[in-house]
Amino acid sequence: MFLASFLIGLREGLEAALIVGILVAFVHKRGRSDVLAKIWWGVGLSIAIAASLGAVFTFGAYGLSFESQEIIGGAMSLLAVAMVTWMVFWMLKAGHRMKAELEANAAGALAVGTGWAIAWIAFLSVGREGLETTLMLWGWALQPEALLGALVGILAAVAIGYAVFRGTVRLNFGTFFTYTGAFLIIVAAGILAYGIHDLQEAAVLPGPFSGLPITPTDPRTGEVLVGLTDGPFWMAAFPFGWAFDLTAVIDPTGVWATLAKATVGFTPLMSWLEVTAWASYLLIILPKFVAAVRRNRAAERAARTANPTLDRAPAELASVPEPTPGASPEHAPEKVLVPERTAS
Amino acid sequence: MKTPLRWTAAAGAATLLLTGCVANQPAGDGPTNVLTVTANADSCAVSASSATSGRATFRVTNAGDQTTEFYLLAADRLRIVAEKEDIAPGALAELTVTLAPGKYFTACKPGGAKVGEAEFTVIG
Repeated sequence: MFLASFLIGLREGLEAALIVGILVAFVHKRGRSDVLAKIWWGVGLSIAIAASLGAVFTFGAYGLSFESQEIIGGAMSLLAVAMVTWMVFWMLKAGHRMKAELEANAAGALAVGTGWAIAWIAFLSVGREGLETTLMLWGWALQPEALLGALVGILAAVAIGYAVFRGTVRLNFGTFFTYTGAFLIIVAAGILAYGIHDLQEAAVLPGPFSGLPITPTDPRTGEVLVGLTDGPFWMAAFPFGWAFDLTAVIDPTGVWATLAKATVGFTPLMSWLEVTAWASYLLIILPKFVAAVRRNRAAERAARTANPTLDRAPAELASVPEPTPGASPEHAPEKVLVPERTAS
Repeated sequence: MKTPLRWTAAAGAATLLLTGCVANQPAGDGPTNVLTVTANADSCAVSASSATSGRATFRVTNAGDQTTEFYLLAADRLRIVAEKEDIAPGALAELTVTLAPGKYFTACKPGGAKVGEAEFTVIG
């Protein structure tokens, strides 16, 4: 029981922890502790709203219907995908701009307004699964073992988020944007897939839960068609049936399925609509991302040949301008660490 | 541009929250049907196969060793009327729904596969 509820807590918390970990690393690298405070506001507000709504719906006169719960989760997922995608490209551009800013010896500054955008991303990432999770936690109020397991799972997710922050904050700027950007795009594709899954469950989007005649079913058994060859003709299950069903092979409640769902968004049972959205997103966004990274690198090379004094990691130079007020002392070791990294 | 968008979003969220409400406690319109469900690796036993229309609470106990889900499906066995996900082994979860007369199906999904699908009738 403890392990099972631990995994549930881990799954619900991991994705948000990873995204927030990267956000914190990003603003930390830019020495913007004022934005850091906004991120924590976003996270705190999200937890507070989810926890109080969860309590109201659990103990109050009215509960939340299954459809609304799924629609809220699904809609917030789609919003989170849009904002995370925007953030990845914005971070790349910001990284690119760093060069010009550094040459002008200006302190790197986030554009006005983007600080709150980052806070909103933190808010959405946490809130997406927040209401569902707090409803579950309040429901377990009288079951200490399950409750404890789930809470420890969430703490483990936070610890992993912190590890991601520690791991990425030391990378130099170029590497940081490339790695975290690629990772966030993969995470966002997963969020898109099960945002669609939530909306399909609520029958807002057509799919395996829509009923006839939308859902493709086997005329004899009435079961939803799965895969490419199931049914009277090839691709009969497309687009509103299941793409694959691996639940017989992979236990969706196990450790690996939990980690896979919380990172790349893979679940053992996925609909064609989910898979199509996932693949389309990656096919459109990844090439754009790769092109943006290449442009950045080319610009960096060009700047280096034009000005040999810039032949150092941007991160190192970033710490040269006078620190912004309230910049934490943790910046100090970064200065020492970065040159070692670039030398290798 | 930004402000109307924000208000629309807030209004949308509020509408969802208000229209998506299901009464937890009796509000004077008859008693709540309480049904107990025992979920196992290969079964999903509901204490009764019928209920009167109105509010019903399913108290699901997971007696198996895998995390399970409980589903109340429509007569076509496809549409989800209500569901409770993430019921840890040994845990108890409650699902409250307002039922209209008709034919339904109940089922559990321990480890993702549907088991113990059974007909459930709601009488006017």
